[in-house]
Amino acid sequence: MKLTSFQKKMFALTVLLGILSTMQFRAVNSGYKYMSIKEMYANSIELESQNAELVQLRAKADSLKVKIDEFQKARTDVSIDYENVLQLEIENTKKVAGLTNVEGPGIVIIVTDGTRELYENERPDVVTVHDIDIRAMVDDLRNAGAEAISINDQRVIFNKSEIQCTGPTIKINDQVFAVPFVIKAIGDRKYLESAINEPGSFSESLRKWGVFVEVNTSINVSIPAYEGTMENQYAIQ
Amino acid sequence: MIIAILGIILGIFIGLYIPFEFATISSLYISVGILAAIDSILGALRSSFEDKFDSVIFVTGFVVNAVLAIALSYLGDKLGVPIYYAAIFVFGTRLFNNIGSIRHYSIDRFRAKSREKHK
Repeated sequence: MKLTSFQKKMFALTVLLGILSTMQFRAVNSGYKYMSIKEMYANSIELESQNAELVQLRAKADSLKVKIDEFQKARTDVSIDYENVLQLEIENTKKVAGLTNVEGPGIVIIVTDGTRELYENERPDVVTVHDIDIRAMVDDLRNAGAEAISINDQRVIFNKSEIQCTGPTIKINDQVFAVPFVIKAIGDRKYLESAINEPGSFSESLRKWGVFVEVNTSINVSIPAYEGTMENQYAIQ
Repeated sequence: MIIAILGIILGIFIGLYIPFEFATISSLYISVGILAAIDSILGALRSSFEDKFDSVIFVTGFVVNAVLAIALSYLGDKLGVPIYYAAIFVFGTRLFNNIGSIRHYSIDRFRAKSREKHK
């Protein structure tokens, strides 16, 4: 059979088309995807953050494994007093939650209304202590690493204590207090003191407005336990 | 026609067993090249129907079209402008035009043949 020039060219081109299409098919279906450089950059950042998260999760898993080992040992090993281990854990949890009396080095802050003369037409609000002032100071103390905080011997715990304005008084843990407020905090004394005295802190503004704020460090501050009830109504395990 | 089908089948087999694979990044250029190939095949079919087939024009047309299309898409990729749309658009339009003319010629031929039979 003699092929014409047209048929030869046609054959060559169709073979080329077949090869190209098949290889393209293979490339597209090999699980890879065409991607621009921008997308690659975004994906590489995503990959990095995912890897960092993975490392963190691995570390967490390791620490949990250690804990599981501990518990396993406590369960099988007779020589280990597992009751004691659990007891320690319960005590620790209670301490963190604020259900025990605690003692330690810390600071005592006294906050009371200012006694300066008011300017003309100035509202007395400016020199009185408000709930928001107390709240801001408590937040400052927490940020400075306070491990336990009380106001007028009412323990401030993290999700139950309210600090609420009730006219000239402030309600803390459902009890109403008037000035002066004595805020006690246990923690690193230097950090806590500087959290109140530092320039730019909320207490500095208070002092500028005329509210009386005094900070004393103490070797031993005692803070009572939270006395209210703690029961979750909605958040169930 | 049989030659074309045979060619495609042979090409598919070669493509399946070739131990070489395109990088994913070049798949855009390959797709443009495939379009150029289809365009040339259909153009050749059409010109053969019109008895105007010229092998030099055919080969140069295929090579230049494919190279130009690939170069344009490369440039567009570097500039962030999807210029390969132009190649796809032009090839696509020509593809349909060519198919249309091929259809016209084949139907005309078929009708002429059947008329001869009836006579």
